[in-house]
Amino acid sequence: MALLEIRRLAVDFTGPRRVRAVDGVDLDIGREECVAIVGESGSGKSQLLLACVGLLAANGRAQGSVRFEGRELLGAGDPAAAVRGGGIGFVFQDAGGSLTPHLRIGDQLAEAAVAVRGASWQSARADAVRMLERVQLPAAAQQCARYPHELSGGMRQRVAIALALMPRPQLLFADEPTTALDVTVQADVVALLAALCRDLGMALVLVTHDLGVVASLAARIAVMYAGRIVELADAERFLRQPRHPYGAGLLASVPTLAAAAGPMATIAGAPPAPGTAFAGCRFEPRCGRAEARCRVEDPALVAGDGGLVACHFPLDAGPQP
Amino acid sequence: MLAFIARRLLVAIPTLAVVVALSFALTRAAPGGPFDEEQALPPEIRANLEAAYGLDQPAHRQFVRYVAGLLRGDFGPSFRFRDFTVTELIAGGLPVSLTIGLAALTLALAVGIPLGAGAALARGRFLDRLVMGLAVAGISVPVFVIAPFFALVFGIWLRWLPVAGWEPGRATDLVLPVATLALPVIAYVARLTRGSLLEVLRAPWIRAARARGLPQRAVLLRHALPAALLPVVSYLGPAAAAVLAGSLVVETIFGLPGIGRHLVQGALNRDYTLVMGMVIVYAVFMILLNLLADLAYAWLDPRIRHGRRA
Amino acid sequence: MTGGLWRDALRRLAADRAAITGLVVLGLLTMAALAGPLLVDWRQDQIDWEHMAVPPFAVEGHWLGTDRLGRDLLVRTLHGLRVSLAIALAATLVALVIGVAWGALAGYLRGRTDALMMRFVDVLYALPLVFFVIILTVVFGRGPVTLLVAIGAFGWLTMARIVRGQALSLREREFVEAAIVGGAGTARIVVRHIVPNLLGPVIVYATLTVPQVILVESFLSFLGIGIQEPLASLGNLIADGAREMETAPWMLAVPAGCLVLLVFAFNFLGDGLRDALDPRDR
Repeated sequence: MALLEIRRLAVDFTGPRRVRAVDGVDLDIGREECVAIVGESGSGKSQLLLACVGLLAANGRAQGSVRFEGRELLGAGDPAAAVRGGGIGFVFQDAGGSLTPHLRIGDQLAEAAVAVRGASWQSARADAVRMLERVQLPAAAQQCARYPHELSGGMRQRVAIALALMPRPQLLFADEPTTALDVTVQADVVALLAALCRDLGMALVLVTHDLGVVASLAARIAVMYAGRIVELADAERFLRQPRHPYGAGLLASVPTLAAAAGPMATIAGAPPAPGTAFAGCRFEPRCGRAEARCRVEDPALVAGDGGLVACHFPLDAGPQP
Repeated sequence: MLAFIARRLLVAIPTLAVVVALSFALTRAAPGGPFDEEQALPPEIRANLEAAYGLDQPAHRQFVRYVAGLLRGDFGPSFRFRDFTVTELIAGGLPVSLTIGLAALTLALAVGIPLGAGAALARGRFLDRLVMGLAVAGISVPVFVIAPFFALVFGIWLRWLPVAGWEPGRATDLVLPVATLALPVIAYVARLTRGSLLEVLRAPWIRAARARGLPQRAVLLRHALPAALLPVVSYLGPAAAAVLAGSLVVETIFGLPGIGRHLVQGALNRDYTLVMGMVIVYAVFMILLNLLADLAYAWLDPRIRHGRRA
Repeated sequence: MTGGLWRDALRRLAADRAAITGLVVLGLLTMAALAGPLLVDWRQDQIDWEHMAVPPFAVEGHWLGTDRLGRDLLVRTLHGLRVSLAIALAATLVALVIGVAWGALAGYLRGRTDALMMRFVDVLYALPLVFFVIILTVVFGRGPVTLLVAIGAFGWLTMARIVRGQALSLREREFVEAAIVGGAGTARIVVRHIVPNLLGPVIVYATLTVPQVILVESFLSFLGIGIQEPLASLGNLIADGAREMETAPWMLAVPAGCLVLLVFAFNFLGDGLRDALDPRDR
């Protein structure tokens, strides 16, 4: 049994218009496994994670099933509350904003251990210092007495990671944890996350739109487009040979030193506006390989060549188009 | 923290100076003097009177004299209550006014904050609608309507509480005046708390605190409420002003021997020194409360303490 | 703000029952204040020697009763309403003009001028304003004009702050930058570009200022330093009523009810306008 089992998960937002942000996602996360979810902004990656831990915005509603160690997390009465923190930790995109501004760093860290694990304040405080050392925050003991606004953005990000780890989760969701950071420290933070997962025996779901970040880190990669997973594959295989045209496009648009001389590859067109209705394949309007069938028939996610792909005309071996 | 207080007190000095100068200038600019209404005052007696009060001297001389007196705690003689100095009049009424004023402010915070927080948590439901309806009523119905209404209902018809009067130590005398004064402030505080708590609950760090698995109570009390109280703290100054203004009415209607009566009577009698003394006392009170509000603000928000803002 | 946004705001306002009720009540009260006194057979200072202190509906012709001098309470209340409304609207207008000009200029000029202008507002803000209004009425005599000037002179502070905040952010917008680059003068930019775009918040705040001014005016009249007898204002009518409440509670209830209704209506309308023009906080 996988640690986390997501089945037919759909997320809707009510408002002036009804918007479906996640549309029928199936995904398993194994123990100590690292999975990356990639896709453009608005593809539903963040809402997928928020739905799993019951933290959707007030007008959001999740349907389907999410099980953590066999326990259902969706439904009335916020059943996900039981696994938040201790079962599933969460590192948000805006790490600076995820620290409570009026509480000292040390107090926030200790509180997380006390409230979730039932640790004593004394041991929790000692733990807090150790955790700050672990995320490689310089002068960890002194930082405990400081307030979030006294730290730099990169330091706050490390504190946010430490905060999520204090209750000792078995699974960590990291939602674009490096976007708000300087390019120079992005790689450090990702490497840190990978090391922490390995050391703590923790599974990791890393959401990003930066394929460069995941290349070294993830065992599997899920590509999301317009609320669906369109390709799910071993990272190594995906990076070598993506099968969905969208995945290939994403990969081609990663700047490399070799390609830096020429114009940067991009995917033509823009992602569909939220709430768009689809008859056929969601990617068809932007796809160079689209044919008549793609306009009318929605491709299912089917197995093939060491992964899953939702495309009528997946790319085969050989050079990319 | 001490430096912070010192800095704030230093800022208060110009404000106080403006109050003194402005009120002095205004009273001296007034057409007619305090002795105009007393007819048939022989010219020599009038001249004596004016000399006795220093009114025959040039304005800047009078001002210097007045400020020098202020620094010694002397507000000068009252023009009307000939046997009393303004200092005596104020000292006599201050304890009563301070008691009801501070009691009303405390009550307003103690009731308004929980009401507003409750309404925010029950957003859109019955409790929310009820509290917000009452809040609009509390803001729309002025003290000078509530006061006689309360006196009529609880004092005259139901006979639960004394309508008027004051005996030191009799707590029942305080109930109606304090409740009357507190009501509009409760309404405003509840509205402010609700609005700001709703805003804070949308903050990313509240979502992060919940994602860490903290229980709802801790999220609310430790993480949300202190931040949500900042606007309420900022409102303390205006709230104090509202209570002070209300105390003029309340002291009149409930027959309390506070200082509020002196201001109205002084204004009606053109008793300049009394009115000025009152305004200065009120200004000092306001400045102290604003300082208290600043301190509370700094205590709630570490960014202020470290001088990042303001 | 474009026409579409105004249309949206209007639609939201029309859907807000409390705001529409407030608007209707305000319309009725205004009509009553303007036309009402003409329809009643009594003048406000006319004494009916045969009917002193009669309760409402007890005597033909005095529908809301009389005070202890035998003056018709309905006509006095309507006159009081007229005075309160007139002073409130005029004082709000004074506050509006000063506040918008001050705030728009400070926000537009920015820098040291802005700091100085707003510091001045801060100092005035820290003063107990009601007391300064009292001093002003003492100095310049009691009466409607003094009241109007005094209230207007202090009522502009909050307006100035709101407008300044808006102006500061407008200053950064492209069309203002474009006008500056185009060589338009300061006065022209403030009048043509800044002020029109402030309209939304200004309307909302003005609507919420009117009831506050009504309350201050009635408060001063209640204390005896506002509108003077025999002229009626809601404030001095309530003060009269409070003195007689044991024997003639209607003398308190009628003007107090009228005042509360008026202030309620303005507050509901103001809240509705704010929600309509700034739907963020719903």
